[in-house]
Amino acid sequence: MRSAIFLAAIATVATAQDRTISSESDVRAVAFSKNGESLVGLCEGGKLRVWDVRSGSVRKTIELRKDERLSDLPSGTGLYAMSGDDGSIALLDWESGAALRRVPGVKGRVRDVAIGNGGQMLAGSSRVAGNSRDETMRLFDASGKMRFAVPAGIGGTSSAAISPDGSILAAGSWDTNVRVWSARNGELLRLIDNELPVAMFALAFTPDGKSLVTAGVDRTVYFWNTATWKLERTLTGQPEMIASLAISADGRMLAAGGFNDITEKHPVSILLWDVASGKEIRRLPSPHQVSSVAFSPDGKWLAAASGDKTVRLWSVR
Amino acid sequence: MKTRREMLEQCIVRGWLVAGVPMAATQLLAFWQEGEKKALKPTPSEVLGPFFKKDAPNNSTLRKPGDAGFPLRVSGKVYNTRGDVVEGARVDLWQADHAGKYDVVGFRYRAKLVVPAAGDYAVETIMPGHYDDRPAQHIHYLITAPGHKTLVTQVYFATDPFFEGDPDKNYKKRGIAENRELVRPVTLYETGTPRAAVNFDIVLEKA
Repeated sequence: MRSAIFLAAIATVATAQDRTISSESDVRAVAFSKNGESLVGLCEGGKLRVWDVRSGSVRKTIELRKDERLSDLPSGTGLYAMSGDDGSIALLDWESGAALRRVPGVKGRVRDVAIGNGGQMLAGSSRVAGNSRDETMRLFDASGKMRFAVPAGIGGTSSAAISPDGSILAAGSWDTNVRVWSARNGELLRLIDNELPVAMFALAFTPDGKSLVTAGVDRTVYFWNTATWKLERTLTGQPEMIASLAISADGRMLAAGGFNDITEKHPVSILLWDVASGKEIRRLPSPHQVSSVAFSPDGKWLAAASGDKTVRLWSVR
Repeated sequence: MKTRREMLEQCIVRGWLVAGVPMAATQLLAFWQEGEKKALKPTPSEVLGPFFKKDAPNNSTLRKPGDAGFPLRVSGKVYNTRGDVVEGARVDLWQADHAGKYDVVGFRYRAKLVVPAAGDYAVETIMPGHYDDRPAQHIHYLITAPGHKTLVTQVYFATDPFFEGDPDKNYKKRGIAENRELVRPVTLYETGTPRAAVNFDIVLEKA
């Protein structure tokens, strides 16, 4: 009995070592499947490649439409969104291969999409027509009907997110402001402007919906209280600009990674924090700038894409 | 050869140009000429990019002694589409250093200029460096003025090796510059310290 427990412990350790998955082409974004057994990566050449997390072998490859771009790949949902130059947004399921919905185009290329409520909502932003860099954010409900269109700043949307209960839509703009709307009617609940001198590249809600987390150029992770919309706290120590952040499904861990120089590939650190204490848990090395981080649904793995031919997986619990 | 003004004056004298309501000749002339002013085309917009920073200082000397990079002066006026100088304009501009890096911590090569009433803005800077993502030298602009639409644009340089000596043909290369008129000629001064100068006038649309 005792030796059996010992062997089980060994097996656990043996299956939970940090590892890498090799890809035929550079990987720019990663996400886990709903059960955490598969990992999907956006690969150079317009493909989604699905790997078995344990073995690293390729399970399937999905050819993406050449006239559309991947615009959202939320981890643990199996979903992804594609957007076209005609402004249409398509919601698809990479696990089942199903094309779930397509919302019609408005003039102008869609820049960023947020999938909310397990695919019940889709929000996308695009540039206003004419000699303008103004942006409009639109939210579509489960029937594909547009619920509202609201001004979303100047210069483009850098990142957007929908709260876990589907009540709030938030978006960061290159103009450095973050806008928060009611997902029900598009009412502007909060314009975060003076507190942010630089653009936020990554936005996420905590799983309990109590905080909106934003991070970007100034290497700081901001927590905004979604009841008061006041700045609650910050996490500092990230040495590079933050391009991507992820929060574990239980809300206990936060990971962030990015880049410090767009002129060249260079090594960076992915920081892993304990959300409750704000303490840094680990500093994970990446040989290249990080474009995407994702936790497995059970919080055991953190995966990162670095724009190279390797997906790195760290055992973080 | 008469000037346009002299011809108009002659028309007034001879009764070919008459005001429908009582109006002095000088007033009539000014009114006519104002209406005849050639409308200016608004400056085309370009992408804002990820590295805009709020609250840059109102400082026109961005180049410090000893800075690497070719000295450059960029100047111009801010007009409306009728060709009048716009009052109260603010010109935010930011660029990479000679090595293609943006200062995201401080305000190196960043300024928010309060444009004087005469409408001229100017900065003493360096020719921006190249970087992989947008491999043409450029300076970002964000211009605001009361009663006018905010303009986000960029200025490029006709001398940039990226355009291979032929900006007319190559300005759209790799989808970087969207508008030919934003690729500006460069004047080189060789007396004293060699330096370059670029004129970039801006035309804003009414809000």
